[in-house]
Amino acid sequence: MNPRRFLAFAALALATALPAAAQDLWLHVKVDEQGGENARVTVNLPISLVESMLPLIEGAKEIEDGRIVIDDTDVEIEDLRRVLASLTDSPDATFAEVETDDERIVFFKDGAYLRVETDASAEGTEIRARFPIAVLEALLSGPENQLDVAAALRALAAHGPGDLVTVRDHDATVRVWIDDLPEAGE
Amino acid sequence: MTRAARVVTALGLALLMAFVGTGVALAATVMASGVVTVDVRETGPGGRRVVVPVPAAILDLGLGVATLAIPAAELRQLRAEAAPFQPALAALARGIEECPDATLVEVVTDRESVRVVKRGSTLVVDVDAEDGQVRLALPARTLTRVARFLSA
Repeated sequence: MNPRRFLAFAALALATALPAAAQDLWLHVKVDEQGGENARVTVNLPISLVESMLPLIEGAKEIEDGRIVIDDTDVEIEDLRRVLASLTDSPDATFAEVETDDERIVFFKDGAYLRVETDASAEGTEIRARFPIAVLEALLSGPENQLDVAAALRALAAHGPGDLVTVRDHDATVRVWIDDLPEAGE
Repeated sequence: MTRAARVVTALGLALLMAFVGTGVALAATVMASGVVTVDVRETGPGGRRVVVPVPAAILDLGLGVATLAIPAAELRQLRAEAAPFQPALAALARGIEECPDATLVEVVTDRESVRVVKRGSTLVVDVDAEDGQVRLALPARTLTRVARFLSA
């Protein structure tokens, strides 16, 4: 096959496959409560549907076209952009580690991810969070003091399947992840 | 067969075909547009059950009639108020319509449960509580039509 034709074919295949892949991805949230009313919450939503729901979030004046406006916050979005840019350019490393008598929090870069992990605290809470850097960049890509949630969702869809957040403590477990299955698997 | 009998038979057959044809056309319309169903059951002794099935085609017709029945100024105001949400509502309706079958939301506790399920072309909301059960089945296309009504 002519190399130019092959490249054109590959580009066309990629262009058609990417949106389809994004459309096929699902955002899952699963909360299991132990104790109380033993609530079990499961949310399975196509990412494209989540994106379309963003402007519908009722009463949130700060949300406009999927962008969240942040005012009167201690942290400026511009500062976060600078921090993220420096983290993105740096090699894998642990950036912060906070250790108290009953808790240890580690904040580190691991390839294309920023990760936050805590060891079980006195209350038994253990957190594992993994944020794709591309998604954080998209989130901070809004104009001025705005977070662009819609762009973050698109970046999340482009990033593909994987766990985002897991929280375990003595009375509940929470898991947030993305995959290509409509129903939440175990 | 006399000529009169032949004419009466022909008229009878024509009427029968008209009735059957109308029935088939009506059934096809109902099948194509789906049925909105509200099913309420009270639990406990003497609990009642109310089932209200409404062909979505009638709702569509209702939206069409509403366009004519609602005074133009009020319709304009309604659409103006809905305008900020209309694109999102249309996108949401389209998303639900195109979304594959799945349990979209499920909340289960020891005492009650709520499920929102996409099944075929229908969105089903099931609420199961101690004092009763409610099931709403809504053709996904109906949401799209409501969104379209608000934008027209």
